[in-house]
Amino acid sequence: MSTPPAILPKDAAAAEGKVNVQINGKWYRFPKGTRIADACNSVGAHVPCFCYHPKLSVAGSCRMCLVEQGMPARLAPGATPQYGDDGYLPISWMPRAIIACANTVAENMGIRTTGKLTEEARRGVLEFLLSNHPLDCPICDQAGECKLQEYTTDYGSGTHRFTEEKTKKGKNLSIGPRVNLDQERCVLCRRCVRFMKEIAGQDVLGVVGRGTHNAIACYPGTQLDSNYSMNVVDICPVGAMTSKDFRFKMRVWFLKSTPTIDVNCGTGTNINIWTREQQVYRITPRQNDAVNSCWMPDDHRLNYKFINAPTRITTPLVKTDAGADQRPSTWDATLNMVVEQLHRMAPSETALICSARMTNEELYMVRALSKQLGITKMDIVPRKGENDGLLVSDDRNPNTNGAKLILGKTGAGLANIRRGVRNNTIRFMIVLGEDLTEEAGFTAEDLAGLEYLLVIHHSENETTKAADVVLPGVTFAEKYGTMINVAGRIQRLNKAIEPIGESRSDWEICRNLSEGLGCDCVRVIACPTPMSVLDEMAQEFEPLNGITWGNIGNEGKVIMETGVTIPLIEREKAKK
Amino acid sequence: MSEITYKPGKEPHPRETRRIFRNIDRKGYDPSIKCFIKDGGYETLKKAMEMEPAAVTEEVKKSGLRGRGGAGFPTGVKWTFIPKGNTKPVYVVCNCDESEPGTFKDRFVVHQDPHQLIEGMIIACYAVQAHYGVIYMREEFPEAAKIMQKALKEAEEAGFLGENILGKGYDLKIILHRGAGAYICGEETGLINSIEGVRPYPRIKPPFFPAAIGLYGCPTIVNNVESLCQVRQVLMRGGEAYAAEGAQRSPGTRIIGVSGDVKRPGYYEIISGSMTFGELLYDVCGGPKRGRKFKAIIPGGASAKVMRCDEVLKGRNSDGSVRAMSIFDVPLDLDSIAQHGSMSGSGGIIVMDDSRSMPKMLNNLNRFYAWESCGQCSPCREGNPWMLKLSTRICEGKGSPEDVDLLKSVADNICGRTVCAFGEACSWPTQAFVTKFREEFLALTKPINALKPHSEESKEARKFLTRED
Amino acid sequence: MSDTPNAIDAITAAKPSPGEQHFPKFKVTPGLVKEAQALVAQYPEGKEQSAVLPIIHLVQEKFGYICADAMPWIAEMCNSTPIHVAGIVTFYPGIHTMCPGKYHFRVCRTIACSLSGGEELILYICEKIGVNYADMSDEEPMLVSADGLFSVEPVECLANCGFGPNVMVNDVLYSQVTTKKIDEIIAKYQPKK
Repeated sequence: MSTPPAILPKDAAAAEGKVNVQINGKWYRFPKGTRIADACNSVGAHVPCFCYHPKLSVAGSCRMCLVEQGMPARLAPGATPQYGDDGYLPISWMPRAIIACANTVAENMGIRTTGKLTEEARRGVLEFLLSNHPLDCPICDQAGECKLQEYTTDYGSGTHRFTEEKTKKGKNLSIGPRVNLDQERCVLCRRCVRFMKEIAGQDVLGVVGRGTHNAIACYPGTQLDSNYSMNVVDICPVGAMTSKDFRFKMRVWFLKSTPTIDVNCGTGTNINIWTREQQVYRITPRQNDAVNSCWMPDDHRLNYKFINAPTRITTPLVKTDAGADQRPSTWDATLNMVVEQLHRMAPSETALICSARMTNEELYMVRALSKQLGITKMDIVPRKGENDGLLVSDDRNPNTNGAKLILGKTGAGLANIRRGVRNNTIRFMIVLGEDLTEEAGFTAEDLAGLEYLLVIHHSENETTKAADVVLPGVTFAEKYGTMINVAGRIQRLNKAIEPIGESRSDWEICRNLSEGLGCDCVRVIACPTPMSVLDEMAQEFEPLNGITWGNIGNEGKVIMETGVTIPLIEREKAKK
Repeated sequence: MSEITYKPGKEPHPRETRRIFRNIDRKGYDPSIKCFIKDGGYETLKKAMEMEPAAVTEEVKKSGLRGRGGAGFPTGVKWTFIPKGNTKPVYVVCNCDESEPGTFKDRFVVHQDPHQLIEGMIIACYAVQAHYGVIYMREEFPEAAKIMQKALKEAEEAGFLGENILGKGYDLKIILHRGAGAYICGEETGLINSIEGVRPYPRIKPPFFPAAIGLYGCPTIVNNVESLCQVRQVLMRGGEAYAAEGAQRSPGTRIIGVSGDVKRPGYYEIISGSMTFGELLYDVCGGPKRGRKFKAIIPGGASAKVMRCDEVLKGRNSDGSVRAMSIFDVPLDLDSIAQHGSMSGSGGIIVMDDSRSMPKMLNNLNRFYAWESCGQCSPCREGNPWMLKLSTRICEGKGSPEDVDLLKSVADNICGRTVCAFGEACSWPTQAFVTKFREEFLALTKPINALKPHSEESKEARKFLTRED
Repeated sequence: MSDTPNAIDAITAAKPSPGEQHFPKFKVTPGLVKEAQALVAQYPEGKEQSAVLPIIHLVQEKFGYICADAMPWIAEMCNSTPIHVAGIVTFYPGIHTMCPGKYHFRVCRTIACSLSGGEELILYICEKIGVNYADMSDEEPMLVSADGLFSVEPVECLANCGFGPNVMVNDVLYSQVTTKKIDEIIAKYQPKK
């Protein structure tokens, strides 16, 4: 006779709003409404899925996630439940496997992700999916990150019994400016169709044909040209949707991915940068449910070419005579020269323009430099655009909140500086990370009229061309640092590649200049890394109190109230 | 009521009991409301609307009426699955997408006696308090669509449809929605998607019944044409009286369609369980064609598992002892044949005699299923064309003995793993044909086809082949 | 790009058929719009998409088939998108993307009709109307005679299994059809010489 515990597990779980589920023989507790697939994956019992995507509606059509399931037998009328020693009812297993994506957990449910029933189902489904598949992995971009490939290795059989003629479908079709479609490789999970309809709001993809001739397509004359189209490449579990940009460029297993953030707008979309040696090959979104869910806009994703472009400035450039060409120089000589020059400049006639595209650490060092120089005419360049109602913020600077916190600047003083330059009250300028001939509103004549122009930037532009000295900075892919997004979340930038050529991070350049100018503040000149700069800031700025590089984590931390929200995230929350 | 006479050559067999088919092929009967009312039409509706809606459902539950679309689910029970305290609109959909090969019964109702269906449907709508009904009619019934449109208009003009029906303050609109030739639309959730104007992919289960979430996300009752006509019969005769007639677990009449190799194929309305397969096929249908013998029977529409006529089945006597019997001894109700591994489904019996090649029959069915698979889920989409290709190859003599087992194994891999019951429907024929007529399949194969083309054995074997050629 | 034909353009690619001479070319007229709107009105409010099949039927009835120009119009009428209309049109075998002949033979070849000779009947009709059965494609299984008068399409179950073989000519069902019956039907519709 068994003696169940005094408090039954079901009651204990119910008190927390949870249910007990047995997965592969072990009992776990999950919130009510958890999908079986999510529950299993969270405890390491892997459930393979093609069509299921947590952010999209459930299709339940790939049949890959079949698992064995059981529930306690239904009680005969009048019978009392017989709990075992562990307080659970015996599970009677169903003879049919069920799909783990569409069904949710229930009290005393049993799931087996291993065993004959599940394994046979998976092997069968994989065999079917491969039967009309072209098996062109050697020339497929998805190879290496292809679910079909992975699951076949994990669950498939080594041989194939299908020897008939395959159904022919379209190969390498251009369905949009940035995406190609290989209908033959498609497993018809319809993730792309659902994404475009439910998330991107551009209902252009659909399924045509019937039965074995089913294929994804868009209507002739329309195309997949949404600014979110490339997300379908990410969510495609196989090589059916491929990126035109990345097509045939590199085998994914040669690439290293670095988790970092996008710097094209204030949302600070979480991304991975995929690199090999010193070359960036692609950028993909990284899931962060508080920032960008699983998605990112195409124009941000593709804005990486400048990193390895020939227009990068790789050494300090110096113009020795007015009207002469810039020529490369060494860091030591150039820094000495710049320090000498800075000593000569009257602070009242000097302006400094830095950028809200710089990290907090860089801005902190800019502030130290400006203090050292006694400069008061200082600001950032604001950048406004249209909010796309999804992820792209109207603030096109990634760190406006950081600039506001550290420098107290939002761009309001920019017009004054411009006026100063034009009426010659400002004769010297230091520009960091901006091309003043763009959003800042300066003209080439304005810049030519300056007595001395020092520019720190990673790439050639109209401003660097006009400069007396150019110090090579780095791009977002080459540095560590933090930024605060529109919603007040501090997030980390990670270094994906080493600085190109002799370029250096702006915080380091500013530190060296401050030091050269005679700064004796240990907190500035002794900082060895951006992380230690962050530690310094954490003591100085109240919102950053307690923040360290480590505790920001890969998902960031909210440190201030801004009242700004990200529309796509709000919509996702509302759906729940 | 006047004496009923039928058109010449269309007289019912003496062993038939015509209720639903009472007016089918009747002399002087036309689909007009006039004819229907003269024959006592819409009287049952008046009777039903005197009752509380819940009482109508109770009556149908009491009758033990089971759905006639194929699955045999109790109709009244299905109606009670509408969630308690539901505030959304309720819809009733009549499934007139008759497309299971071998089934041809609804066709005659909608062509010749449409008001019978409309009356049954109004009763069903009233019982579940639906104010909007859809008759989903298959595209291959263009004439019936016209007839039904006209009938709906007549019913509305006569005050049986529209607002304030029979002065009871009950409103109902019924529309006709035509399909476009897809078998999958007979699956109730595929049918609902078809009405919603999206691709008619069946929906994932659970929910197992659209009574919870159906058309436009609202509770929806989907009933077959014959089921709704039977509802009318239930209300006409009373639930208890209905339950008393025919087989205990599947009362009422059944319309059986017989096709294939018998002397007199056709439709027969019989009291459920009142005769056996043997009586039907020999006595009513006249037995096999001259000089032929029955070989195989598909007892309930194409997806039902085929039965061999020389198969020895185990029957149970009333005292519990076991006796040997054949398919011809099995009674024609909804359950008996299921005990022998097949199903009575939608009542379509396809008979094949000894002149038929079973692999060829299976190949025909496989082509049907490969053609009709909607392609939503992987096993069915990929498995059906594979089965077709295999059975075609076997029929062409290009198969190997291993292909026969492979064919069965492919079917096993589809069955039980799909979104909808099509997975079972398409794999059962293959499983049954291959298992029960294995020798015929093997006879078509050549062991040499199994040899790998470049193996030593195959070179050896091919040497002889060439010499023969 | 690839050398395979662009499968996406193929969705609406014109499939020329001699049948076109017997049907008017698709044209949106105020009358057509009115009819379509009446179909939309049958369905509950906000469920315009339900009317997509009825409107497709309307177009097919009038113009013989659904051509590339029709799909965007249908989408517009029922608040849908062209790709979804294409998804529906290409799903159902009863919807043609190629114009059938003036008299369209649909011959059942499913098991019961096949037992009574349906498949042979298809071959016979092909011969009679002068088309080659081997030319039948899997995606649009229809053959049209050179004069556009007749077309033949093998179909699955017409639900009259007891009285096979069954043949539908436009809206009319013929059961227990023999080759003699086919001859009669064709003779009836053949213009008198």
